[in-house]
Amino acid sequence: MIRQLFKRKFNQFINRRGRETVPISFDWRRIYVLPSKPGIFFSIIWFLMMMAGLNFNNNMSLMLVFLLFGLAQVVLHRTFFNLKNLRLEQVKAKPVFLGEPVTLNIQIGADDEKWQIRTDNELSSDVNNITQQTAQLKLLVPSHKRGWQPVERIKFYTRYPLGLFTVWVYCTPDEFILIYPKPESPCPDFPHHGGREGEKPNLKRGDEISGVRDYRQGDPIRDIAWKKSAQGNQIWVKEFNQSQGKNLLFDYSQLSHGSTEFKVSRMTAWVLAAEQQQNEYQILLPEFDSGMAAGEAHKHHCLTALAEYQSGDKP
Amino acid sequence: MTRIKSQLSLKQLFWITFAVLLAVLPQAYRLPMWFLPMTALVVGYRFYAQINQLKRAYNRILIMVAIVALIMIIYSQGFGLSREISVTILITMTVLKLLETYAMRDALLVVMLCYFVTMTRFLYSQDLLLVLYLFGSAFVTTHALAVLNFQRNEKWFDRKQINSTAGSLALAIPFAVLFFLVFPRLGSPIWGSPDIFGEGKTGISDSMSPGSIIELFMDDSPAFRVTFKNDKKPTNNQLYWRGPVLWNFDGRTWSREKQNSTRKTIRQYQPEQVIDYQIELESTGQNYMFGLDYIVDAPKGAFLLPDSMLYAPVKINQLRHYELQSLLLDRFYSPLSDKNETLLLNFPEQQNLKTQALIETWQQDSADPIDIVNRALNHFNQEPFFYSYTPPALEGDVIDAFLFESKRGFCEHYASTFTIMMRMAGIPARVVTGYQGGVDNGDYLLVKQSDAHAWSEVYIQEEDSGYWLRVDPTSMVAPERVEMGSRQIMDQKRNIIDYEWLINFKESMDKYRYQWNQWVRDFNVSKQEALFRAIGIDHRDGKTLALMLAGILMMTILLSLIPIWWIKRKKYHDLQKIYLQLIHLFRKQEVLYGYRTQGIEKFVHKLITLYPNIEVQANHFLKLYLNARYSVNPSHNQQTLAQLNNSLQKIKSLLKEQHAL
Repeated sequence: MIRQLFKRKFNQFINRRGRETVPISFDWRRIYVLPSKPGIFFSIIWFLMMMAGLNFNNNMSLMLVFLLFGLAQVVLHRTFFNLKNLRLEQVKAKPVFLGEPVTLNIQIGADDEKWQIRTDNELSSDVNNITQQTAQLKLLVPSHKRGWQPVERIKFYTRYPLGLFTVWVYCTPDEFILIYPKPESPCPDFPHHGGREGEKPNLKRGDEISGVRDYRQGDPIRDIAWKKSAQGNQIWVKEFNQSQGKNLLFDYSQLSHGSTEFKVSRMTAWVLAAEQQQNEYQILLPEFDSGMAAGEAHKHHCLTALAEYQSGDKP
Repeated sequence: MTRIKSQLSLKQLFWITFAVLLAVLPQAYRLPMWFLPMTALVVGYRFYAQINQLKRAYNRILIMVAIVALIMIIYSQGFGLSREISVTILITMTVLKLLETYAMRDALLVVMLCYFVTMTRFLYSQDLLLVLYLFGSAFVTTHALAVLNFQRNEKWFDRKQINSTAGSLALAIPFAVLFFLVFPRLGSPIWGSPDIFGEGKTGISDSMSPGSIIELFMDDSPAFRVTFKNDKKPTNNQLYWRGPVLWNFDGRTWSREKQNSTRKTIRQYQPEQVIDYQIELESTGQNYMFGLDYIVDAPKGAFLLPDSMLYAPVKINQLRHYELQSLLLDRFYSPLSDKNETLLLNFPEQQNLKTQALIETWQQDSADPIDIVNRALNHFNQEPFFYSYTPPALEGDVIDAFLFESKRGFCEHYASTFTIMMRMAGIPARVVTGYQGGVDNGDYLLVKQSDAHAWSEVYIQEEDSGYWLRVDPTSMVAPERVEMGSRQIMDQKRNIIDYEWLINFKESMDKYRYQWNQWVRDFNVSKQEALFRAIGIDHRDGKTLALMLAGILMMTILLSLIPIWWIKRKKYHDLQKIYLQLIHLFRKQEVLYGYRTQGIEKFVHKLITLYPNIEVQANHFLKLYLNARYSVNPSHNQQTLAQLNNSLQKIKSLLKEQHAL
């Protein structure tokens, strides 16, 4: 209970700066310093040495002890200065599908040389040196929700030069990463609703019924083979012939069943499949029309729209 | 029980091994014989395993190896929890730890242990030359830590990183010096005593057999240093430094007689006769202390045995200082008990019959002890006796053999032979060992092991009392030994590097050693208090000390901060300087000036919203700047700089036209 409270207060304290716009420069006020594990072991050995030296008034032992104490002081400051005035210049990430980890491309910079700047979390870690003004770090973060996911708190730390002290900073850059919806897997068949007329409307959809199959969640109502379904308990759906090079229309409003997430996920899968089969395709969302096109840019356009749909405002 | 592969690079292993070797090898001389081969094996195997990427040996094998090593230590050094064995175990285990140093954690452990092992060396000796070892080992160990933490490149000796480690250590020295001076010391140890650490016996021992002193002649290391007060330094032939007095002779070896009482303090003397001096005795691992004949009274922590020998109940394993007063007496009056007289007349009667016969003829001429002493001395003087460091080995009746055959020897032979001759003549006599002479080394007199000497003391009975008389038969053969010192009679080199300049060099080195002993090795509570008093702090209570320590800590932190800050101070390069100039133009406009911390892009955008008519120039400036600074191939050459400067001037002039500034 108290631990929880303490933890919350502590997190409040280290997050007190809120979300900051990049570039962020780390001055001394926000740098934390603590001995590392090897540092604690060093101090234990040092303490034993000091006790022995003092007890026997062995002056050369004491010289070594005090030299090591001075060394620890110097190293403490050097580690501190190795992180001071570090800049977080950029945080960029390529969009990923929900569930996949996001690779953050972090650009750090400094006016002087900085060594062994590390960052890590549960998924990955990376280390780099800044010798030419800037350097790149990569960090994997989990994707939590579709849409624009805020970048979570990042920790940069260094133990250079001796590893006796850990000096670190926390920052929460005011940056967002785009998370596409998770595509439904396996990819369902393309829908057969006519929707709006495209440029080549007759090619958009196969007209001949090729067969019937089981109803799957989300199938358009008008594809249901009512006659056949009425004969038994099962619901049957008509299947239509499809041909390559068709213009496909994916209309959100034609998807009848399932949650928003489910529909968005299915449309994502269609977009990916259509792009892969080199079809032209168009998606229709409430208040969004992608237009009929194909290609990477179009795909990104469609997926972004799907990602942003009802997922909160774009920052 | 997983067998892990090495996580360390060859470079890291090299530095760890270097640190371990440097930490343990200076103690190898007092470790068991098998230690060096074991170390070589361990290091060799570890590198072989590293290069061939062998996995770590099974834990049970490593445990076996450790147990075997432990048994061997007990076998070589005995069983017990003495410091000696503890240190040996620590050192051996540190070396063996290399066998299981495959992971970073073990590597860090073994490197930090090296600091501790280095320290244990100083428990045995604190010689000036060990300072080099201190810094060398501290440097290598620290660098091993640095290499474990970070490898800039694959080069084994990376100049830049080595400089960085050396720099850190150099900056640590001011801390070390200040803390050394002011860190509160303990007046007395909490546990144990430093005297338990010794480097073994050195110097004159409590027995004398043929050849025992000759080893000392070869040794130029210091035995003790003497500072005379009031500049009252006796002449060289008066400098007889009394050590163990030997009573018993078994035909070959002289040894001490155990005594359970102490000698009385000399009470009657003229104050101006007294010689006041201080002795700094190097550790001997023995109980004997040295003083000029005859010591008035025993110093603190020692007592005078009835034969005027200075004896310390605790073995001298550390540098020891003591003050003495001596009287340069020719005759030392003292009673001699009957029991002691019989002891001092004892000699192997079945041996050395030729000598006994000679003494009998002397006794027939004159029975007076003084006459016999003089006769014996004349005998050495007039017969062809020679002083020699390389006498032939004597067998059987050694006195006869020396006196009638070889006639070549050094102090040991003369003192021993003379004493036995006196006993044969019925004069109580004993051998005194110690040092004779010394080298005047400026502020002090340096007495070296090679000044070791042996002489005789005979008891002359007078009517109501008796006195001891010092007789040095060696002076009859080689008077320059006593007049000028032991070095004058070395007619040949003692060993192949026995050069005059080397001896002189060692003597001048000893001056530094003397200062070192004064200021560092012997720094203690009382010297610290004197230092505090000198800077105006009389009370050594906890509060003052805490305040002082805090002050010193602050000072030393500043001492290290300033250089680091100086090195690390912000170096704006030329590009940024131009940008700073741009910002500086708007220093009076709070809103815009506040944007400077948000980066150049935001700043310029804000600038454009405030001054729309400089949009073109401002954007041009921004583009130039970003190109020069952040492009993949930064080309901040003179041309770009000039362009940026141009752009800046244009913005300036535009703003001036508007009277915006």
